[in-house]
Order: sequence, then C-alpha cells, then structure tokens
Amino acid sequence: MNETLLCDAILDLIEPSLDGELAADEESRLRIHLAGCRSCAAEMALAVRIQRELRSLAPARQGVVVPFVRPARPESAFLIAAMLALTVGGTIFLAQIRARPAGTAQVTAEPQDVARATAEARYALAYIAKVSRHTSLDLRDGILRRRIPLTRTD
Amino acid sequence: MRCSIFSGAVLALLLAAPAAWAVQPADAGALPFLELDLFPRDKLSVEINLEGPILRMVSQFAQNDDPEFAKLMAGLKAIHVQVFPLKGKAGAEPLRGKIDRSVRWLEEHGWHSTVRVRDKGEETYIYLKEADGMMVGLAILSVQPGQEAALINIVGKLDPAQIGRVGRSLNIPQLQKAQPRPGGKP
Repeated sequence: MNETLLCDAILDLIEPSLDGELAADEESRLRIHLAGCRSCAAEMALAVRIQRELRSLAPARQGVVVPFVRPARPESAFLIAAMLALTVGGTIFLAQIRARPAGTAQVTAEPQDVARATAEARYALAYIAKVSRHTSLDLRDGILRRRIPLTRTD
Repeated sequence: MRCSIFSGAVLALLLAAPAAWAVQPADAGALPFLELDLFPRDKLSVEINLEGPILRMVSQFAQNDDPEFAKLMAGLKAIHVQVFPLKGKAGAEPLRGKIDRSVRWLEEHGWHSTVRVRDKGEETYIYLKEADGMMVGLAILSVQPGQEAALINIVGKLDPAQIGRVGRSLNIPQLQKAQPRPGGKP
C-alpha cells in the first residue's frame, strides 16, 4: 500500500483509539505503525493533547432554565395599562441595548471570570478541531496548536 | 363585546411584536439558540455563552501571552457552544426532526453550506454567514451517535484574509472557496 494511503488509514484510527473503540487487532496495527512513523506519532500526540485539554477545560456547566410563568389574566383596566407600560418600556430598553455600540459597554469582570472565559473560548476552538478530526476533515488549526499549552512529555 | 375583542387583539399585537423582535439575534452571524431549541438546556453537558465585552477582556488579557489568540478574540462578538450527550447509537433519533429543522433554518436565512458530511451515522454541518461582503458568522452542527451532539456558533466580522488564513491553517478547501468576492456582495 502507498505510504500516504497507509498513513491516511492510520490517521482515521487515531480518534477511535482515543475513544477506546478500536478492536484489538486494529489497535495493534495502529501502535506498530506509530512506532515507525514520526508524522503519525506526532498526530497521535496532538490528538491526545487536544483530548486532554478538552477534558480539563470542559466546564460542564448546565444551562439555567427559567420556568415560564403564565401571566394572570388581566381583570381590570389598570392591569392592562400596566402591561402596556411594561411592554413599551421594555421595547425602549431593548432598543437602547441593541443600539449601543459594541465598544462602549462598560463591563467589569474579576480575573477569575476572564480566566474562565478564556478557558471556555479555548474549549470552543478545541471542540471545533475535535469535531473536524472526528469526521476526518483534517480541521487542524495552527492557531489552536499554539494556543493550547504544550505538555512536556520528556 | 366587540370592543373587548378588538382591545385584546391590539394588546396581543403590542405584546407579541417586541417579544418576537427581542428574540431575533442582533447580529447577522448569530444563531437564535432559543428559537432553534435544538437541545433541552437542562440536559446539556456543556454550555458556553461568551459575548462581546468579556471576549474583549479575554483578548486584552491574552495579548502578551498569545497574540494570535488575542487577535482572533478581538474580532469576535460572541461564542456559543451547546453540547448534548447522546446515549446509545439511537440517541440522536429524537433529535432528527430538530436537526433537519435547524439545517433548514440556516439555509433559509442566508447561511451558506460549507461542509456537509454524513458518514456511518455521524453528521457534520459547517455553515458560514456573510453580510456586506464580510464573513460574520460560523455555525457548526455535529452529531456523533452514542457520544454527543453539539451546536457551535462563532459570531464576528471576519475579513476574507482572516478566513483564508484560518481556512488554510485548518486545511479545509471548502472554507477557502467560500470566501466572499472582494468589493461586493456575493
């Protein structure tokens, strides 16, 4: 088999291997190839690093579900007027938010908030790389490689 | 009686219009996650919602350590990620209708399909949104039966050079082909 084709076939085994989905003979074939192919071994190392980063960064934050409360049926003109006032006021408020230039927002955040946001942003980018890798799209991101801190193995 | 029906209709219109307007994303490249309602939010394994101000702070803090990352973040308005765990190979089946509806929504709202992969039950969709000759949004929908499904939305004005650079580094030929033509709308 052509060496490039062989490497392509091997690269397809990396992600299933990390997910523990390979049969023993395929795992053995992968390991034998990796032992003799520096390029594929580097791909394996990158995949391991991405998976490790994903696991360490995964915020596992569940969404907050706000229960929907059905408004009470208006019984009087006062209630209708109040709802109208809220509607108009809310619309004006939303319009002001949407019209505000992006750069003018005054936001204060604690360092840990920024660190968390950084980790989440990195997670998102790493996830994109993972999705593409899993689907054999070869979506390897040079930026991502630099962004994820290299883990020394020696 | 007729008067109260009329008043009720007017009231309903007054209430519904701003509410409908409010759920529309302000940015062309933003997906309306609430409207798409792809995954049940209380079952998500990961949910990330980063908006402009915090992204700018991330960019500022990363400038010294990682200038490339900082530059990328500076151009983004929002990052949204939802990851939903799928149990068993048939775990994605209940989502089938919503996935199709979401893909249809993307195509009906001017998103361009860049990558569509369906292989052994796995599905990956990558869509790009352009506005005024600029890339303003990236949407990735991924389904891996037995593992998880994810919806990722990156919002921001990405100039063609940046998309090309990222596209080349990502080695996705389709992404490079999707660059808007210079100096005008596609």
